Amino acid sequence: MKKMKNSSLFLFGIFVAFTFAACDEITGPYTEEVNVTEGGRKILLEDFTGHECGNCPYAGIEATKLDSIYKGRVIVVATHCSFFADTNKTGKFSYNFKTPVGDELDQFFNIETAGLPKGMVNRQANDGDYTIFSNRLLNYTAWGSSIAMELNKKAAVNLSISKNYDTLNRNLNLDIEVEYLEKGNINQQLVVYLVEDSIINWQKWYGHIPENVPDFAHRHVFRKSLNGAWGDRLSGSVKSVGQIISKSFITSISTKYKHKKCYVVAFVQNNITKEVLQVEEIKLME
Amino acid sequence: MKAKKITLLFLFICAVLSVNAQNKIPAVNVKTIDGATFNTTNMVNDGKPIIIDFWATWCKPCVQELTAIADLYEDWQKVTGVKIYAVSIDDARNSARVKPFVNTRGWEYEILLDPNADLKRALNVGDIPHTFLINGKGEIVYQHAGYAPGDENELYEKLLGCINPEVK
Amino acid sequence: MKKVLAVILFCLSFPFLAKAQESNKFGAGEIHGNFQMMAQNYLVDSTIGAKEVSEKIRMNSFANLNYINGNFKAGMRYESYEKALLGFDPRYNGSDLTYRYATYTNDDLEFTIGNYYEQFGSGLIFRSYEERGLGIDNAMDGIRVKYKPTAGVYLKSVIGKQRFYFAKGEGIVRGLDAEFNLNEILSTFLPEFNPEKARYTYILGGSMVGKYQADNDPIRILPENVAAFAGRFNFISDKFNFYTEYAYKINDPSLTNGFIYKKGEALFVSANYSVKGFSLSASAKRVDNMDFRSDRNADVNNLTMSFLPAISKQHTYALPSFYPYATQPLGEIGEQFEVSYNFKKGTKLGGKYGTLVTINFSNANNLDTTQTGNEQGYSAAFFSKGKMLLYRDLNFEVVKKISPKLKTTYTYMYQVFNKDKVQNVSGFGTVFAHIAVFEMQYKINSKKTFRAELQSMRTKQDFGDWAVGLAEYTVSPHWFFAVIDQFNYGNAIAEKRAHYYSGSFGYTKNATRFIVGYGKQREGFLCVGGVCRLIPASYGLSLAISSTF
Repeated sequence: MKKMKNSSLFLFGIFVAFTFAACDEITGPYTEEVNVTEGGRKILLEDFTGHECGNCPYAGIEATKLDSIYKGRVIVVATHCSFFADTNKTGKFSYNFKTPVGDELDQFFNIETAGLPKGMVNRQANDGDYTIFSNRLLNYTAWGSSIAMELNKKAAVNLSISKNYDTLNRNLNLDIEVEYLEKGNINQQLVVYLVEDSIINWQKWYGHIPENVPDFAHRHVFRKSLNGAWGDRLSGSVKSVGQIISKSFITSISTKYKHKKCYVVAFVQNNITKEVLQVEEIKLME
Repeated sequence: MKAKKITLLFLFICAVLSVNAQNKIPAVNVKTIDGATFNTTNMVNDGKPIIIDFWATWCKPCVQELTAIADLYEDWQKVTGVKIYAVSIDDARNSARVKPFVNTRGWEYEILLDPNADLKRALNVGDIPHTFLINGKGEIVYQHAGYAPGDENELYEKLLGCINPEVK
Repeated sequence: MKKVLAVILFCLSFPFLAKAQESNKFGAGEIHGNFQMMAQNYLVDSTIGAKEVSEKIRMNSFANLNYINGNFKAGMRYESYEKALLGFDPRYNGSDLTYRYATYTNDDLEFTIGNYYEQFGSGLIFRSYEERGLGIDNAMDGIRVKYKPTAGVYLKSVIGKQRFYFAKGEGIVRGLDAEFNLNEILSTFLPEFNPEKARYTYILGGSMVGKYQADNDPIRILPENVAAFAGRFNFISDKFNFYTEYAYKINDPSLTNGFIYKKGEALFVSANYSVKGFSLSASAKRVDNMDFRSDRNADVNNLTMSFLPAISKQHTYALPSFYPYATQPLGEIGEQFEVSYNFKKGTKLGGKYGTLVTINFSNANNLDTTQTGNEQGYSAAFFSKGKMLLYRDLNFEVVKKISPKLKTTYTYMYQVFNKDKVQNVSGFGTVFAHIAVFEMQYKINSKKTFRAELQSMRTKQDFGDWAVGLAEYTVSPHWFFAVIDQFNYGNAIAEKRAHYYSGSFGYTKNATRFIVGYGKQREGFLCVGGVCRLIPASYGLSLAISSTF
């Protein structure tokens, strides 16, 4: 009996040693410098937002901060969706930021149900179950860590965009080249988005004075896709390393958009896993 | 991955199919209303029946049931010698209110506190109220979920049915 | 659809399995469990805003199986969301084994591997629990050891990761709790402290909980190991109870506190006096930056370690719980008082059968904070209250039996609810509501009872006035029928003055219940940890089956 008690005590003691809580008290500095390496993979950061979502400006600020720190290696697209982006008929919050593709993404990833603000970094699964697409959604404080980890991964393809934009008749010609750095996959598709930066309109901002901001600069606003929510298949056959696929697009830029602020974001995604492999952007007017 | 898990589940079931469905109360530590730790293996009543009733101060039908039985408890004890353990699953929000709640109503039950639902889980209770009738041998012979006024009559019938006819 | 049927059949087979075992006599092992299935069909209704649901039928179900044989216990739970009912997080999707464990108990040592739930003290710094109906489940997955080295000393140690839908959070949680029942300890040398005979019980407890989460943030320097400490004391006598717990947390920058490096503190005190027929209780709470989670980026009810319950009374009627208060983990100071008296039968106020009167008051304010403009965020004086009222509730309840067949309850409440702050919305301000409830229960005979409720809420804010009517007819021991209507007659917008009516009936046999319902449910809002979620209105048929075996 005593032997049993002694061994129990010993076992417990060992266990307690493992569970001992440690303390990291940070007394400063509180921020660190980021080493941004050149070339390679670029990251698509999507920010799902709405003009009546009072917590969303904080996510927008984080996206802009990450965008400037990573100087071109992070490409931000802010997609307005869910009931937070619903419009009033007149007055405040009457501008329509919603889009059919945005609604489709909302439905597919269940963004409205998960709550806003939410974002995705290369739409990758974060070690969760691939089949539960809502696992892709991240709260904005986790975006930085996710981006830092994605940047360490090698690029599977190289993307380069060349454009020819006629400012008078607002016609845009795009030539996109995809170069395979790894063996291709027939599920890889090219998606081409049109994004407009700095749309000035109403935004609700909790903790800000005033709470309803009439002249908020909405950054990186997703306007439309040139080829649907999931894009076009790159090739029907498996491509080998070094091969290049070219795709061309012709579109007209609506007068609703301020073309000086517009730019194209093209990305390659695997249509089965829905993960983004590479992304590139180009302004309409330099 | 999923098929593997379902197979595991079935193997588990098959492996334990050859078991005896005695249905005894599992050994779990809860607290009495006086702060002492109480292990359910100490739920013995000298060979007489025991009733375990899961309730909470915010659960109206639970309070209705315990109020209805409170008027009958003395008689039930005289006839069957039953002991009633009223296990409150009130969590930290309400657990401090359990004792005043019980005292104001003058309930004479043995009150046990199960704030993290350990005993509730061990007995596989879903929603409350949930009542168990345990015979003199410590076996669960009847359980009932929910409460409709008048259910205490069925409980009493089952109680009479399980007392050893030789014991008074 | 096939999957739905398969799950139902699978669950229904359990009671038959249990019955089949009775004839066998191998060992002394037993297998028991329970299962629950809730399915709902969704129809479109534009008056209440019930939108189209593409799957038409959604279902949540789960089954628990537990095996016990002497000192050994093992079990598992299978959960299925095909798809999850509206209002549940979409990450509850699919079917899988979500809980499995094995426990070995031996005299004073209990060892569990796998999943478990646990609470230290009142849960201020650590509570792992489940509320399946609300979609809350932060079960631990790891190891737990409980040890009683000597009489009156209870030690617990935990390590593991918490559940996050069908996966695990990345934070590693470690904790140790020690509770000393001074009576049990001292009774070995001083017989007057023997818990059986002692007039006073003294309990002392302390816990230490830490979490580890890697810092991969490129910009911020974050603490990877964050620890919290708590101490508690409980004094119990025949008539008097006193409990207090204090918790302290080191710097824990997270999504919910805006990444400030301020320490966190919480203090909870409660005292009550009760004798037969009378009780008096008081409690007070102060919470300052105590949202403690195993993942600093988690929101809503995910991956929580701290349990900070509201200081207000929990209501069960529909209108009084229309504006439920939830603790503001970042900062609040509140109190609650209750006095309850049972006027005995035969006395003037007691009437023929006795009258129970309860008066309850609760209040919560924010903290008196001063912004520091640096990484500490703010500072708040310990005992001062902020100027913002978060919640106030004054309620009176009288329960009176009029005759052997008729029992009545009268309730009046005055609630003040800071909707903007509590639900993290804006433009609604503070809601001032007067609520009255009348309930009667009439016993037709020993088996049949009729119960009715009439509720009224008068308010000039938010959606305006509401009225609720409920009628329930029960036939013991098997049947119940109920109808309820919630009518928003006072809504400022005429088209929104909707009736949310529903009817249900149920059949119960022992521990098995079948409930069928049909009707409309109004929408709700869930805002926790900087993220807001809408629980949409719905309309349709629902079915719930549950059983314990």
